[in-house]
Amino acid sequence: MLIEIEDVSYTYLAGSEAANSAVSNASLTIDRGEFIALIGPTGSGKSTLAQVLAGLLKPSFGKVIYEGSDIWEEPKLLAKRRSLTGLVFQEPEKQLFEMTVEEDIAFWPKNLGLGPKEITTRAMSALSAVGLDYEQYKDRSPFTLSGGEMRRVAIAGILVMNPKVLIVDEPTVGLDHRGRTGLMDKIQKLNQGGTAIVFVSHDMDTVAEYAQRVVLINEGSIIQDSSPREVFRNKEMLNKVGLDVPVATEIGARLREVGYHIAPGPISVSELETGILATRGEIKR
Amino acid sequence: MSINLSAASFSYLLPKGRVIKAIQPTTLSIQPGEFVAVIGANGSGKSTLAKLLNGLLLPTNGEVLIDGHNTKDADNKVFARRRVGLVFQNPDNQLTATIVEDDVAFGPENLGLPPEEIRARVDRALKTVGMTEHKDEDPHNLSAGQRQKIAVAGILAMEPKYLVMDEPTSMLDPVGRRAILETLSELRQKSSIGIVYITHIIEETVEADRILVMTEGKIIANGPPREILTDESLMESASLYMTRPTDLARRLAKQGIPVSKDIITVEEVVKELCSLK
Ligand SMILES: Nc1ncnc2c1ncn2[C@@H]1O[C@H](COP(=O)(O)OP(=O)(O)O)[C@@H](O)[C@H]1O
Ligand SMILES: Nc1ncnc2c1ncn2[C@@H]1O[C@H](COP(=O)(O)OP(=O)(O)O)[C@@H](O)[C@H]1O
Ligand SMILES: [Mg+2]
Ligand SMILES: [Mg+2]
Repeated sequence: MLIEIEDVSYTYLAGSEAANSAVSNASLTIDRGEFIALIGPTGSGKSTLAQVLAGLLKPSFGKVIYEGSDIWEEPKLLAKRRSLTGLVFQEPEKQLFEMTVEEDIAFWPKNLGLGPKEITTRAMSALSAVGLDYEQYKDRSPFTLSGGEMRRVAIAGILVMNPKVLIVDEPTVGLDHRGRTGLMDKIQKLNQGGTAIVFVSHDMDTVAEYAQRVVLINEGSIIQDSSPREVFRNKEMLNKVGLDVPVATEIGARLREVGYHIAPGPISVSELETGILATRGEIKR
Repeated sequence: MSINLSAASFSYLLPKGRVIKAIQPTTLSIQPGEFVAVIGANGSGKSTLAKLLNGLLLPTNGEVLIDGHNTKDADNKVFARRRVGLVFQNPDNQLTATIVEDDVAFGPENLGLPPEEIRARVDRALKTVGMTEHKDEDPHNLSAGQRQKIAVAGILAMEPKYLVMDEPTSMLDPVGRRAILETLSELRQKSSIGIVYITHIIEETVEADRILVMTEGKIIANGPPREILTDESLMESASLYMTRPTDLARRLAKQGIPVSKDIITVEEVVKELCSLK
């Protein structure tokens, strides 16, 4: 098991009047090569849980275990263990701060004491993994890049650490269609190469398209952890917590209501298309 | 009464004399009571256009008139900000106070409204975006989506005559997003507010009166949703996507099922297939 969290709770401003319990009693495991979507309404604790998973927030209670060892038990080993995961924050543009793309990407490896040659090799491969050409981008200032490019540089700055688990917090917000599909395809490629992915999102259609497993959080508690198909079966519950089903699921359900005998729960348009075509006999020409 | 751009263009001036032409000369009018959606790729000039509409940026060439008042005239600055409320793409550019309700009250207070009126507007706006229970908190301690809701509430509370919203639902969950859109549609029924709504979520534009499509600082199309959203080559060239109902209808039509290719909503696709049953 790459990551296990056991009965984790996190409270902001603990002890003060404004104490705010953002995550409570969450347990979760992440295995090699998984593609997990973390979904939940606005303010449900997704970003907090993402930071706990990444070892950046110390839980108020509970354990965070990486490959069998409790990362908060021995603070000295924390930095080293933490490199198992990489978190791309929500609005990662805010993380970019160096003068050039190359310096920005080299920041953490330098901090770990890696040599310049090793850093360059890694930077090249990290940039190419997100679809950016090293020579073309290395000397650009991150602040002159488009939203989609900045997002990719921020991800490269995390990939350069070779994490086994990549956590991306709402990575497609603000990107146009091309930027969004380009980025998601890159993330999927990384996953196919063996990196486990935790994808935080509000976009049910994208979740349906890419995730193999969906973790649903509401008011700080994990209330479901199963396949996308299973999660999207329960529209009423999803609506109640502020979420929805994918468009294809919605159309499929409506068609069943009016008497079409299509298989329940399609989650993509192509699946729905197949389902409708299978009922050709029921359709007037 | 309307917002009018006449041959208005905008260029950003960068160090070393570099110039970015963000908006090409554009002529455009936004009427009260209209809901105008704006779509286009990243960098196509949407946010720059938004800032021209409320006078936050002044056109490099050409004119922007807000109900007859030229934004270039320094005396019109306050008038412009009151008449045209702008919700920024990044809510953090807008949040100022350390308590949510003070933040929402900031705009109405600047309008010099009586305290009871301010109170009522703040309460209403917070309720609209579903943030009443967070009214005493510090916005900086809220999640990103919650901060976005506060930014929207702050502008709603000013009850401007024109509302320009730059990707106002990008960080919201589906129900929160729907709540904002429903609020806008109620506002339109109750008052003659003119709304300019920028988004990457094409599904949010299907009920607009018209859609503007931008590429490289130009408005390359301006028309009703059905005309724009079903124009495959236009959408493709502007780096946009067809809504899933449109996509489905086209796939089915290709397979010989007689559904209209001009479908843009879930309701329409269900209705058509229903009538074929
Ligand atoms: N820095 C902070 N200080 C205090 N409370 C916070 C902070 N960040 C988030 N919270 C609170 O924690 C809860 C969960 O927030 P978050 O994890 O950001 O949610 P999500 O990512 O699901 O929108 C919210 O109620 C939010 O107000
Ligand atoms: N403050 C700025 N300084 C320099 N260039 C900018 C600035 N803001 C935007 N631009 C440039 O202007 C063009 C249009 O940007 P913008 O209006 O933000 O587009 P959109 O909102 O459609 O993504 C882009 O090329 C962008 O890089
Ligand atoms: Mg978040
Ligand atoms: Mg913009």
